[in-house]
Amino acid sequence: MMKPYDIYTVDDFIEDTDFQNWVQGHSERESFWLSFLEYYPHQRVAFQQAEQFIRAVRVAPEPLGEQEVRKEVERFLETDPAYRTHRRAVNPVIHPRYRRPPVVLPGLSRVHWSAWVLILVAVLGGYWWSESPVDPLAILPDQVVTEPLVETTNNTRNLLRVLLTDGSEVMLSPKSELRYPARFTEKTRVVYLSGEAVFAVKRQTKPFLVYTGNMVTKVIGTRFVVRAFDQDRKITVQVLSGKVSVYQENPEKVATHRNEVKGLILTVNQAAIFEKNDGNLTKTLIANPSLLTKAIQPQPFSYDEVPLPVILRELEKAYGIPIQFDAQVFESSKITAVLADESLYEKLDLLCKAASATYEITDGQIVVSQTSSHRSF
Amino acid sequence: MSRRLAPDEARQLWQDYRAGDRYALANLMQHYYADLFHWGMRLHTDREFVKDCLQEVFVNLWRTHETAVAVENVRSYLLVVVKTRILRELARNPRSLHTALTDDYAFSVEFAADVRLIDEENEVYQIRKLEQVVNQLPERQKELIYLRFYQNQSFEQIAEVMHLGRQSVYNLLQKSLNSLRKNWTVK
Repeated sequence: MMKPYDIYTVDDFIEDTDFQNWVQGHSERESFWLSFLEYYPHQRVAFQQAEQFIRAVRVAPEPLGEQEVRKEVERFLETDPAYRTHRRAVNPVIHPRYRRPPVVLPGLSRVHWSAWVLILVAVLGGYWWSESPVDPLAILPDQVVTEPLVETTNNTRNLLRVLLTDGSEVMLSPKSELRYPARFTEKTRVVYLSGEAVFAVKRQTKPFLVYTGNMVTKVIGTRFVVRAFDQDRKITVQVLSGKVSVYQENPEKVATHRNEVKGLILTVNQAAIFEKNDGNLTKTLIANPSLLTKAIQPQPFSYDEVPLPVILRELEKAYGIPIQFDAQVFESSKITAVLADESLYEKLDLLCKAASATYEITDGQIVVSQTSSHRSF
Repeated sequence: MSRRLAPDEARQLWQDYRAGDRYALANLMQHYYADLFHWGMRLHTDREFVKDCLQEVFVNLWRTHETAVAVENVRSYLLVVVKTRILRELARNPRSLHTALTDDYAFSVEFAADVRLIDEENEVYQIRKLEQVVNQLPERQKELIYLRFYQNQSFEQIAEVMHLGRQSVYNLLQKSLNSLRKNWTVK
């Protein structure tokens, strides 16, 4: 909706958040405000007075280093050891020391994630990169990088915050390196990572791409973690909410098969594994899928003589993971159970045991089928 | 520096914190630390004191996570909690004359006009003049302007932080703007 700029008073301008942002130098409508007085010449006085006011009330920030902030956050995390037993919530945003590496799928450590899109990219085995280093620019034929790349290496033992010019924020883990353009002037925002980092990406129409070797993680604007140390051989990507696309950027190989880039779209609770040596990209599920909304959590799934297909559909909805099965086969399997705190896999184990079924995870889906002994009858 | 957490992201972290995720709280702490520290320093200009108060605020929040309430705006909620804590700590100190949560707590802010990118001498002069006048406003008005334009709080949020009615906040801002008006002389 167009605001009534025509009749804006000084106070209206002052109160206009977008106007404030523009004066303070971070508006997304730079050209609009720059040409404002051409369209509303009679508003010149109010406009300029408001601008003067906003300039006058600036406050200098307190000198406070990122190191100091990190130190305080660590101090908080280290107090109160009585609560350490609760530390199943491992959030890599804070400090790598408290994170268990999310490397192995599907037997991952239990991790309780926040509801961001969270991508963990882990790489196992080091020969691929070190022996055939890929020039990141060479695998981006459409990307003419005119801006020089800034290189930041974190040689400290703490996280290092890197602010990108689009407002995105990167927390670079120790022994990791990030290369990024001094300014994002291209159609896409591209950064190159070796090691591990947490990205908080500013939402923009320009996609944000993280290159780790020749695997690309693409987001439109969200929060995620990329883990790609050179010594790792396998790359895994986990999505805990939202949608992310992961693909291999290797034009020569791909062109022989088809025109499109080989890739996967991952949604909540799904994961991808990328084998560096053969370039295989497969879809699976994360180790401990979480319920889509917390609202569902307090109520246990309670069933009294309920057909298995009904239960499976409910789980499908609660976890956002497609479950495939033959509804006719299981229609007669009636289940009585209360499912509460178990993980999704524990729930499936229980259900399958009761219904003489098995399940497997294929292509990011769960496939439930009758056990073979049963089927032969 | 617009590395600010989106309000819904913050709410999600707050929810996770309430559900027992210590790292969600640490995450909020990390994001809001600079803002909260800046705010704390306005109330008492002792860095170590402010840092300790912030520690206590977060440790206490963690201790009470099971009974913590849902909040609409996490940042302004934290501003309120930090202010309460700092004023209480100051009141506890027998040598200080502070009494918690009265209207006469000290609030110190020095507005420093941004005159970069302004070539015209006359305009720089006018902005400097405005800056002077803003700095001479009564403390409560300065606090309001600080909350509105530095901490980007809404009228409702400011009302909560300052223990005032929404209308009083609005009137107070009008009053401040009126005192400045005679200095707005764009030629």
